[in-house]
Amino acid sequence: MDRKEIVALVLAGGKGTRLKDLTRKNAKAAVYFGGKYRIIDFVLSNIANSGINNVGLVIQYESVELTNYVANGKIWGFDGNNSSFTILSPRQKEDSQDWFLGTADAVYQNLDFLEDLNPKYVLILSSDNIYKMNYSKMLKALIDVDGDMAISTINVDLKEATRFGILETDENNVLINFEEKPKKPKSTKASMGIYIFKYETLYDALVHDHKDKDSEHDFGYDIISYLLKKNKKIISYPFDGYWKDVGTIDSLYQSNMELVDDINLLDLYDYNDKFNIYSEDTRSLPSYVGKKAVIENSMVNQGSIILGEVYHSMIFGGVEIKEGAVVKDSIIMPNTVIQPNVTVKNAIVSRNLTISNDINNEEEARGVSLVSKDA
Amino acid sequence: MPRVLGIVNLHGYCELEEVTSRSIGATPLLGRYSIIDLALSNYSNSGISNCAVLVGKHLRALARHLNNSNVYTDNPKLGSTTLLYNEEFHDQEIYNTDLNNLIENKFIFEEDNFKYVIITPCKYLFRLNFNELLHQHEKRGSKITLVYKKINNADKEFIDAYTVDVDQRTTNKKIRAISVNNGDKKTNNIYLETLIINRDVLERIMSHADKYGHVFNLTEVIANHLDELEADSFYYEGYLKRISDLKEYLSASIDLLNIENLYELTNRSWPIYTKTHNTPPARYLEDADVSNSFISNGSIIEGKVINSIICRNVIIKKGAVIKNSIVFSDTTIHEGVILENAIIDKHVDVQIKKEIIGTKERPVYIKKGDKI
Repeated sequence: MDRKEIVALVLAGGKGTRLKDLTRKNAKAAVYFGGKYRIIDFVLSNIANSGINNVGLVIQYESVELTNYVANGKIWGFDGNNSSFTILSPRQKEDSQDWFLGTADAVYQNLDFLEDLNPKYVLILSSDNIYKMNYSKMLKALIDVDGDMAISTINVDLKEATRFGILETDENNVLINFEEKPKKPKSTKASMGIYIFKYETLYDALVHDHKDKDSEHDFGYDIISYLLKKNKKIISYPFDGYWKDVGTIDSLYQSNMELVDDINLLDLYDYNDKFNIYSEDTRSLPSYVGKKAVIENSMVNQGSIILGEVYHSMIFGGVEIKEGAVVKDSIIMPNTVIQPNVTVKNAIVSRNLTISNDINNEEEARGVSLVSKDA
Repeated sequence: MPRVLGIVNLHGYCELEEVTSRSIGATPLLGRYSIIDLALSNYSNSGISNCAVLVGKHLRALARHLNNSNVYTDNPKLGSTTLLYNEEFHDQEIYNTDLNNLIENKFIFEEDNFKYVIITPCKYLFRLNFNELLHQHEKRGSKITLVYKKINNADKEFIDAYTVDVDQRTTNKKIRAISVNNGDKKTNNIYLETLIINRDVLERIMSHADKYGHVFNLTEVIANHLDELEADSFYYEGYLKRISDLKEYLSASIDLLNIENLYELTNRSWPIYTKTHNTPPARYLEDADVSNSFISNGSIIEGKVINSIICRNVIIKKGAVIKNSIVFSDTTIHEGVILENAIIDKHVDVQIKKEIIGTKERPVYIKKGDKI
């Protein structure tokens, strides 16, 4: 049989500390987004829609809910022919038993998984970004120039550039220099944390990195620097579209609200768009909107019962907004109940809660409030 | 639990099917389901995971809905939903009976060792844990048990429905006769066309069908042999609605907008299972004005929707007013259009025709794909 073209390795081991209570008992990848989805639905759907059928999901932190959710990958169709969906958690080995020490170490420890598949290329990506992308185009760009590695990049504002890995490239998009979170960015081309490697290139780099005691075992910095030093051909693949890192409460809120505000964002409502985002089906009734309900400028998922007022908000499945309740500029996560005559403003309310008291964060300077207990 | 084959019987004349050219089983219910989901979910929630669907006609939409994956079972290796179709006689009305379909497809009896067969139609909306029916049937040692409900508005509803005359004097309330409701009295026993029958009894009926010339349906045969079959009765007390034509389809749908009625049919412990279409949450724009309605995912609402059911991916534009209506999936209702007592099928564009107004008695139906 021909050698497999490409397999995907998704890094979902992170804790996501900046999502606070939302990730206290849940991996960041399984956090809710967009009224219906989990963050990881975007990456896994992208992989499936790109025609890539073999996925390894690297997990570590509080992974039970995530593992339950992804199961055998059926939601995104990874249970078809010539497909596989493998959960890769830290394991005991004959001569070691280590947690993953960083992104590069996580991949290094799973080299045997890659060896079994023996692909020509490996796609490595994180699981906590919201975007739609066809990775096969990125692969083609890499193959066309017979490159060793491709890094997907997005243009950011100069002042934002200090937060990212910044790429300096020549006129052919070939990488000249890479700087992680530079104080004085030399360009505005930021790494999106999406990489495609020639398998042999990746293998070499990881083995070398593992032996390097001074390395932080981070993909972004350590691996790329090493490959640059070895004169490997690294290209940047420019991405043009919506892409958001939702690793903080504020960015999670903003991104959800951006979706509420812009119907064309992510083309979710484009019925001809075959690049669908797949998610778990919750077998709910369609959303019921009551006699006195008011819903404006909002997104409301099925299974919800809206008897009160909802303005400029994101309502997840199974949520009950009782009569007289008012929800404004907020995100209400699944199965939460907002009791009668309660007002919720400017908040992210976590799931399975009952809110009996007003949540009114008028002070915008304080940022959006996160409610993660009954209130 | 003994093995039971759960059959959904789609045979029998149904005016709604004639109008929409679609099987009643594949007709949308509450926006996101198909009516057959209710029957199959009753089976699934009752622990019956081997099902067969007797298809009379209009196979296409039904096959599309049921193919690909079995969402009605706890274990897809153990559960199954088989479509049974009478290929030889599907286009000859007189021979296209449920009984003939069973005879044509009797392989299903050879491939499994179930002890009982339960048969239920789609035209009745009800919720029944079939274990209760099974339990009574077994306890009494019955051969066949028919399910009925006593109603008090038989002069207005369920006209022409099969009824049963139950002998209340005996301990086992035997069925004395099966007839038809002609609306002449207020109280009547509506036969839900739902029954449980011992496998060997059903097989005997099937093998003797030659005597009947293959032109009688199962209910007619049972009606003619009630004594011999010692037909028993099971009293159903729950919610019941019939969907036989546009009027009943619309009125039953609107009746279910009342959440108390809805919970009679389904709730968290008795869910309705259906195929997922991966549609995004419904979107309400600035001018959306929705009241007492079901809104399915993927829809974009900018107009006014009252007492209605909106299926998936429907676009209701600003200034449109939808009242007491059902809009099937992928349809767009453009600016300023008024719908009242209307049923709009899929992939329709209502734009130029600004008013589509029917009555409760005679709802207006716009067929699939029309651009008006």
